[in-house]
Amino acid sequence: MNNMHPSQPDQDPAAPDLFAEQAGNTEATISLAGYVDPDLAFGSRLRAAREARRLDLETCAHALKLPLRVLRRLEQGGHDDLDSRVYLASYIGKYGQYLGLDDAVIQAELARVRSVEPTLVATGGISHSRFLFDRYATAATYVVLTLVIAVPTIWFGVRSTLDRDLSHLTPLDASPVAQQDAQQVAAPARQPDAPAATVAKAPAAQPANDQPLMASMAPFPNMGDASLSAPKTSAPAAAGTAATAAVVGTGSHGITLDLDAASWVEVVGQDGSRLQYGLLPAGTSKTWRSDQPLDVRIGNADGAQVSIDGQPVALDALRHANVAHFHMRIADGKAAATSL
Amino acid sequence: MFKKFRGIFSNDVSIDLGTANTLIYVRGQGIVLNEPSVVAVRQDRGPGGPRAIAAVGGEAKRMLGRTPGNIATVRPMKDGVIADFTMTEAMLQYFIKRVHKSRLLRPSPRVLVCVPCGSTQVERRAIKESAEGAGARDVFLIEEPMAAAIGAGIPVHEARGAMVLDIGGGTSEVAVISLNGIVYSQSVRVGGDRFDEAIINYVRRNHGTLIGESTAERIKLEIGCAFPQTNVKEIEISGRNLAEGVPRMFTINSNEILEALHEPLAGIVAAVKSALEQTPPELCSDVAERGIVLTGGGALLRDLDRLISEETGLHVQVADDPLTCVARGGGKALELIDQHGSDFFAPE
Repeated sequence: MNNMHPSQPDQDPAAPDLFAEQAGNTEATISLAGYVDPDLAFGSRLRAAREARRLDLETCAHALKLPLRVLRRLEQGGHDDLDSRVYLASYIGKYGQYLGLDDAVIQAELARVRSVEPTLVATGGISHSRFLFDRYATAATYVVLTLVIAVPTIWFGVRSTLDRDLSHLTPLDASPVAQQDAQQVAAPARQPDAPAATVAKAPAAQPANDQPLMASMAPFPNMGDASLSAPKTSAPAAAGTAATAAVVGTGSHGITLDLDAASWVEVVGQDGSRLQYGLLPAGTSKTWRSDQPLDVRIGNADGAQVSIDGQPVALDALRHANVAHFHMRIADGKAAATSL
Repeated sequence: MFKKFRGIFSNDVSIDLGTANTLIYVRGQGIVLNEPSVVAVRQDRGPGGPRAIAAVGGEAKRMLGRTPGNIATVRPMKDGVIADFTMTEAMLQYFIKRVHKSRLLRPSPRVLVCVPCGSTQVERRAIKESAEGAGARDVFLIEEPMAAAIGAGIPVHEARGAMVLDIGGGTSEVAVISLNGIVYSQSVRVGGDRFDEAIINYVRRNHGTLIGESTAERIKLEIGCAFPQTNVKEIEISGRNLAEGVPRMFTINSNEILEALHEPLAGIVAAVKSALEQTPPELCSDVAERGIVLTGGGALLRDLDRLISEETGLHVQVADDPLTCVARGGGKALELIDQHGSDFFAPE
């Protein structure tokens, strides 16, 4: 900053002021108009103007702080490849102004130079494919992870439901046990010669607790209406058999249940096997025979009569609210109901 | 996810988030916004009451120094970096919304923000988060000298050195660029704001009068210069006389302003000289042949190119439309995002 603000610009007195005001340039242009042929090319005009001012290239280069090579190329013409637009425009403008060329001529040349717009080139940049990979790799990773983790998880979760064969299921509201009983009753009717033991063993072959259950949103049937409660899908031969007495199991002692209204009934043997589990319709009369104690639970005690070995059982002492729960005990060869 | 959806209806933008002015270049539309980086905040019901944005940009700038007690004008950027995060976010949100015509969806464009090369990681992170908070979907950063060089039309991909001096409102950046990269850069916290401060201080010291920022800027624009002029210009201004405490009119000329600007200009010249000293010899040779390109609003200071030319002995030229070089350069770089990615972008 020694000479940052000189009182007088350090410049060749013979040369025109490089940064002269526009008025001064106009004057110089007028004075030089007679020396420069307007039909000459721009480079030739520069040279003609310089020679008219009796300036050599070195002086101009020193004043403009430009390399001699650049000024020589400008005067020779064909300078488009000299440098990029921004530099070339500056060279032309300042050299033209320095030599006092007509401003219109300079602007015309600048307009020609400016028409060449440089393009931005990404050298050393990544390839397009690499760019796409970088840009979308994260998103693709999430998609793949979703496919690999979430989809199988959901599939495993719902597979058991999707693959389930529902044809063998019986809805809870269709009184499955009654239907089963009807079939069991019908079977000995069709084969009267079959031993009773075969019929009796049927429940043991397919334990009651293995029977599939399915929840349903279907309206619950009116339990008081026997016609609705009775299974409608049974064969004609089985129609009305719901009211027929059925005997389950063998043994010297038996507990008989007569239902005036539909009731949920559970009968469990001593070994834990369920002899009965489900809803029985109104009018059902059923006997379970056994030499072992039985555990009995009746959901609708008001509509049920129970007898053990022909002796009626007073359910009032064995019930809590409308649910009767008692144990058929066998002692001294006699069976009796005891409260739990 | 919603940002990506909104992004479909948004244009990519390049933002020159400057200390003095914010410029926005929209892809395919060019420069669409050039507003002062000023926010006016209204705070009713006393201190601690709710704050609301009263005005942003030019309207807020007109309020500078003329606000009542419940309105404060804030310059959220200082020295090229964020000084007030909340206000910067609000300002960006306002500007981004303004350059999008759709009123149904809040715009969520991809944004390229120009940052000073001397900014720290924390400052860059703040700028990025501020843009994200303003609704940007993706934020890219580019260093200002690189954007300025691209905007000035310098073929930055060539294996030739090019020196760019970008004089902004808060910082001046000098950089030597070659092969799409910055070989050397230096940032000094001297810019247009420092020029204004210097003028205010000069007037207070030599005329005993206090003037405001707006007046100082007007002086700078009308008669400011960096080199002795053959035609001395004068301007009549008014300020508060410190001795009498009343407003007084007085005249100040360009030579006085030249003297006032001596110190900040010396800082810029020193930075350029330092850069030339640090530049590798081959690139220095290229710079000596091609010269230095000036960009930024500070380059419009009269005869600044001549001052630097005299001081360095190099050819100096002012780029076309230097005020918008950074934003335009950022816009050009933005166009490469979908093509190749870009090696122009600065790390966070």
